Amino acid sequence: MSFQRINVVWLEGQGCTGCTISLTNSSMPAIADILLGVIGPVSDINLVFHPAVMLPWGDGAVDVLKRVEKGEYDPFVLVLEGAIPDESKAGSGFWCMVGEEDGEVYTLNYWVDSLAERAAAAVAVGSCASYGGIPHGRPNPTGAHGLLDHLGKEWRSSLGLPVICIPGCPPAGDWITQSLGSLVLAVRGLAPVPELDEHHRPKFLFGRLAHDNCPRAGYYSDGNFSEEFGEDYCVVTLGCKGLLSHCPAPGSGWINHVGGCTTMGAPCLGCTEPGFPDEPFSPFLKPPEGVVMTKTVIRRVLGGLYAAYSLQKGGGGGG
Amino acid sequence: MGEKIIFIEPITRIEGHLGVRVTIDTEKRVVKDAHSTGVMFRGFEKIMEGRDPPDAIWISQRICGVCPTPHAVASAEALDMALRAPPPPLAVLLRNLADSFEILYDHTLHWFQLAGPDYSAPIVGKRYSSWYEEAKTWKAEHGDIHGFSTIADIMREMAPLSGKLWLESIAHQRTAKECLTMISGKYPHLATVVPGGITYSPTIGRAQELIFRYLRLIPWIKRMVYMAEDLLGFLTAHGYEKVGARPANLISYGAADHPEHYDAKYENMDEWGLKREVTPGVVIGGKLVTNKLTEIHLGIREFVAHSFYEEWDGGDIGEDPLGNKVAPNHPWNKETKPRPVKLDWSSRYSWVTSPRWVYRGKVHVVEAGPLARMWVTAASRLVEGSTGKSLRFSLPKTSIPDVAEDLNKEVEFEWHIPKAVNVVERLRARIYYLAYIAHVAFNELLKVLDYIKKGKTKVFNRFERPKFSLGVGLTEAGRGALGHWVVVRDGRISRYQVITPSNINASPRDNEGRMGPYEESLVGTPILEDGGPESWEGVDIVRTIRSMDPCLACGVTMYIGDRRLDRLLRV
Repeated sequence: MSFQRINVVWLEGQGCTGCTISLTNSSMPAIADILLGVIGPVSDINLVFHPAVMLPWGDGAVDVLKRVEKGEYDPFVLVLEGAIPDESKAGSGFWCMVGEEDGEVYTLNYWVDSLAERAAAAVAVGSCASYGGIPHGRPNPTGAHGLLDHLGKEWRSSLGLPVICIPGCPPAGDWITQSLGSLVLAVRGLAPVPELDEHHRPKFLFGRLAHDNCPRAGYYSDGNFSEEFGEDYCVVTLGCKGLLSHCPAPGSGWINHVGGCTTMGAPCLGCTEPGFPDEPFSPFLKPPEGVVMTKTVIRRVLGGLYAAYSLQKGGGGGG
Repeated sequence: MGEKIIFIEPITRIEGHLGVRVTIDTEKRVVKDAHSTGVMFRGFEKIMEGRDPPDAIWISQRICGVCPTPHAVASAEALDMALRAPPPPLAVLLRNLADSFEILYDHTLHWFQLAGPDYSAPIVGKRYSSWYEEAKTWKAEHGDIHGFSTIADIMREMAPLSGKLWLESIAHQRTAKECLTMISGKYPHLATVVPGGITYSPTIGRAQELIFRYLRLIPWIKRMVYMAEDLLGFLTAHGYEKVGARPANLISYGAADHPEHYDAKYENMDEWGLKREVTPGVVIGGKLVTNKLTEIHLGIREFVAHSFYEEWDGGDIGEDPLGNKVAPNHPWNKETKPRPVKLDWSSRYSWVTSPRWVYRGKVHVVEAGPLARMWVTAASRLVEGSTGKSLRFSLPKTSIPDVAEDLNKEVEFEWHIPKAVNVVERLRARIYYLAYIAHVAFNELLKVLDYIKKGKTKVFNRFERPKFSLGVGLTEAGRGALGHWVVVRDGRISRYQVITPSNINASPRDNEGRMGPYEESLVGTPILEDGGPESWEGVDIVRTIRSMDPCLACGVTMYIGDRRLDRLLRV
């Protein structure tokens, strides 16, 4: 069974290359498995443009983008890493340049707008590309925003697909490869189009809260909280925003099932959510307000009462 | 006399958005002028101002997704100091280890994905065809160990996406990052580093898992050293040491603090700095001039004469906590005042500023990077194996199946201070630094076991949010000396400044017209690629730039405000 080749054009805007580094962390599938076409259904994927890994530079690199623009690489998936600045705030200048021709600047925005017209799908990798992320942080000096705002929620690709967001700062490598893989399978009619939530995140990854996936969630339920870092209990008291953030990391681990933020006693920063890194996600060490703390108090009291009751009954205690 | 101007943007296979413009004397085939410019802005400094001080650790890491660990460590050390929370010894070790594991991946990435392809068959075969023909019969001295009998074999296996070395290196990087993630929870961008320590104390089970996972990398690291020596030997035999040469003026802040001596107190910084596994120091004209961290950091000045910023009034930090004078253009006093103007190669042409180092009244252009670290550490005789002229260290034995016996046994390496600074020596120092850090990490992993044995498993000390305090965090990122400076007022961040190694290396000319390290390295570089001016692609130019491993997300962090850079026009 052979498939039509799908090209990938990966642009970097106001980013830090962290999403690309995370992509090289991928294991199941690993990015090499995809590019080398290890399994048939996810084979014939061709990375035609990626500033951090491609062989050409300067004019040679710009030439590739111009050929994509002319349709020579159809069908292609447009991937964006990094935020999109507001170039209207830059007057006759620019915030982010991607190539030049005879001294004329190509901005990131030029390529995003031009290539989105032909793209078979548009994927925002990371929180910057999805929702603006760190550059969008208060006071947002460059008017940075994500692809979802830039193209709009109603935008559809040439294949009729909406913008797909894989947020996280960065997203884990496997989230990227699994999302791109599922998209390839969908385009080839081998799997359903991944279901997205209201922020255009694939539900198979972002359907549950970090808290719901957290191995320390049991301590939360029992009212056991770490009083300082380095302890083994729930860290909501130390600022964890896992109750506000949709993220699989505490359950799935970070690389090859190793790691996970809250798993290691670190506070969740809410990096997969629109609005990161501002309130209510920061200050990062400030416990989330309101309902969460009320619950904490109630659970502590109930947990204590239950423990006392169990001891009185000769049981092993409430945990 | 003929000349050709080449303007390269984007320079790919680096981190971020960088351009260089060089003027080449076409008869002599040599670069006679060069300018380096950074062209993307986000505005980190403004985003940090007014926030809760600990937030800086997570936000400042996001300056760079290639080297977040040293940003986390530098930020944490600046905050350990400013928020008065020296971390427990085990936390210091764990931060060091995170940093070491990052180097293991980062330098591998540089060697195989970023700079490496310039030495792979597709480029060498196309642009240096006679060299490639020779390489096919040029025997690789350590071929029986690394498995490639000729230099052309090595070059072929370094080809992007198809070469075995290119592909294997990604798998090994992932293993290094798995080790890192066992400390950091998440990578890139570490979750667990906090002021006063770290959030996770490993169990004896996790510590073993970490050590044995790490050992899987050791044969690969030994193999890289042998392979690199063979490839670099081939380049040197072809006169490549003239490419990318500049004077031996080098700066290193040192890295890997001693768990018992590091106390996060500014007053003791010189002492604990000397205990680092990677020695801080500055080399001027090939001679070591200081190892003192206070002297090194107080000597830093930032100039903006050729950058898109206005001068500032001088700030209000007159003295450091020891009573030493702090200069008006030292980072503690720096105010970022952007002034975008039309790009003019003879005036203002970059968003990167010009950090320089002042010693006894004289301003020096210093280069940061693995060569600086190795040079200072080898010259200073402060760590075991440092001889004054070389650095000796060993890598442990392993029992990994399917590797050459020579790669499983304990191996001793020795790196010698080179005669000159150039592309070849930068690449060589990077691979040896990787191996040296692997040696340091192994000893530190054994120390972790020791702390667990002694029951010293605490990893966090509480911090304050003082009315006023100063902090400085100095460490080494993959690309070289990285400093974070913080001023805390009323318990919040009042000023946060970062000077990254790529800020130092990619800097434009300073107020007295001294070129930055990239520019100095380009001027005088011979054009050795095939053909005449009409067909040059600038391979020797990009090799020079990539030998310093640019990281422009790091290089331009300081832009604030809502002004603009006028349209960049080729002159």
